Amino acid sequence: MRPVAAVEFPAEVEETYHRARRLEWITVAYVASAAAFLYVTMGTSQAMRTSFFEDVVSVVPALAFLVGTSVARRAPGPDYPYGTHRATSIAYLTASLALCAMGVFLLAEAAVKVLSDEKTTIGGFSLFGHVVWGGWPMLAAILYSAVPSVLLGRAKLRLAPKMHNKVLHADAEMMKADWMAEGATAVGVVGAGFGLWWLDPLAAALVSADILKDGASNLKAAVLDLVDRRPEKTDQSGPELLPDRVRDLLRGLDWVADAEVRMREEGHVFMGEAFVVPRPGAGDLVRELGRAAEAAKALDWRMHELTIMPVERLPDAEPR
Amino acid sequence: MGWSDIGAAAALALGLAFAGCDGYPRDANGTLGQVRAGQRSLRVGWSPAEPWVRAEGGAGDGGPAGVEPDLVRAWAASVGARVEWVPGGEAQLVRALQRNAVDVAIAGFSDDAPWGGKTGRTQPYLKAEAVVGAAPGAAVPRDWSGVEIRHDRRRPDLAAAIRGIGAVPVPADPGGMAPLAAAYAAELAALGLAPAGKALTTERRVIATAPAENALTLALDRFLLPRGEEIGRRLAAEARR
Repeated sequence: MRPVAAVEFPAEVEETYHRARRLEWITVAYVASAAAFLYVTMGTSQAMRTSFFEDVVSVVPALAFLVGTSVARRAPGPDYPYGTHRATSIAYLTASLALCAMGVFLLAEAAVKVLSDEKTTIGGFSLFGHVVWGGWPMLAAILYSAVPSVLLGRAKLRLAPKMHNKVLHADAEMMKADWMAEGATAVGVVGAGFGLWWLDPLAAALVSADILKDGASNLKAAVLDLVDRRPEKTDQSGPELLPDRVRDLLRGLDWVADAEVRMREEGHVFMGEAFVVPRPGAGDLVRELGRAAEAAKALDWRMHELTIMPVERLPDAEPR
Repeated sequence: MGWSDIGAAAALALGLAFAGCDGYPRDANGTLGQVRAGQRSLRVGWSPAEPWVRAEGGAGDGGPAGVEPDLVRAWAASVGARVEWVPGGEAQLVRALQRNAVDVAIAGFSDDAPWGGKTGRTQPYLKAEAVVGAAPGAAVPRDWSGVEIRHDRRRPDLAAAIRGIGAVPVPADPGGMAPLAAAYAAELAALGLAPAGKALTTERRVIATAPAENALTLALDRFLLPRGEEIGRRLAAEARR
């Protein structure tokens, strides 16, 4: 049996993929350095600790992209006749679960810190033989952890829709919004320096809630993907219009009386079935079906595989 | 960059500029300012912990003797603060610190003490390495399990470290440390021992402070951190007692 088409991306999207891949490797290296900077300066600040864990967990979507997408690009073979496109969705599910777990863990930690009556103290920090207030290196680490993050996020956000990659989109959104979490951390540290020790766990709780919120919204999107919801736009802003365009294309053919399309997302690409009711006296049906499938695929690179089935009447349960 | 980003950056910059003013960082309860101005004395809780804090032989001010009490005395003198000594058990002192009933506590605390974030603490002022030392001519075993190692009988923590390598701790007086004994590396020469090439533990010593007293902790750090070598020499002198 012939497996479905082997190529994941057309040439121009392939180029986007390589750029995204490079950005994600830069992200991994950068996040590792930012996490190390936060770790050596964090002292006993809960907000700094939370920010550190936020950095650590933020490599998970990047790694999920790198692993998931490279697996998804494998050519279909006898054992995997549909290819391995869903690897992207599995990576997405994993990344969002990691975010949820980390959010809950850090929120609980901040609460415990308040309940157990622990107050943050920030004293000295030994820097090249000088003793400075420990808050200054913390703020430097926060700044380093915020600014490049926003720039990387913006760059990745531009690439995500071009390759219809939701992991990349979620990752970019989180990095772009990272300055808010880092800002809260900075407020916690500066507040602690004024003796307002309660600002520190409060900032920590805010950052954890933000991580949890990211995790929950992405978890929802990942699960809906895996239960074969109709295709959704990369940024989750609404239904993808491609199924309608394919249906309209089929309905517009002169040998077709009526048509319906059923489509699902498999990672970057869409697969589905079309049901067409041929007009009486349609010519060479086999040849027309083949042509229609090619025309549908030509609409968009993401239209990966379309099986067209001639029927007497459309299925009753009004599919889309 | 959107307006919200610019606003956030401006707010942060303003906060930093404000924070750069005098009197930052601050104490939640104003301890440093009060003891400096002589409004009240610095309440220092202490609990015996050889060789850092000793109950006998203080400076005649009702306080203990040893490395840490002398450090606190020297710091208090440098900022013009009076010291009020408060004896207590370690757990009692931690509870007192939490509620600002004492300002500083010394009990041979290290940075891995189980009290965690319940109190504030200085940066480690000394890295104290406990090692095994051998008397001249003593045979140094290759396998330490079951070997008898002596230790100052007033230091149960060294006995624990000796058990940690599978050896047998033998309590002894400072004069009778031959042939093998555990002590801090800085003390070995004073005890007439040479390093036997076996490390036991590395402790990073700290002084505990009342939580959220940032200025007080920073002032102690500024005093302690440049004095690491001096404190190491002082530790060696303690061993000669």
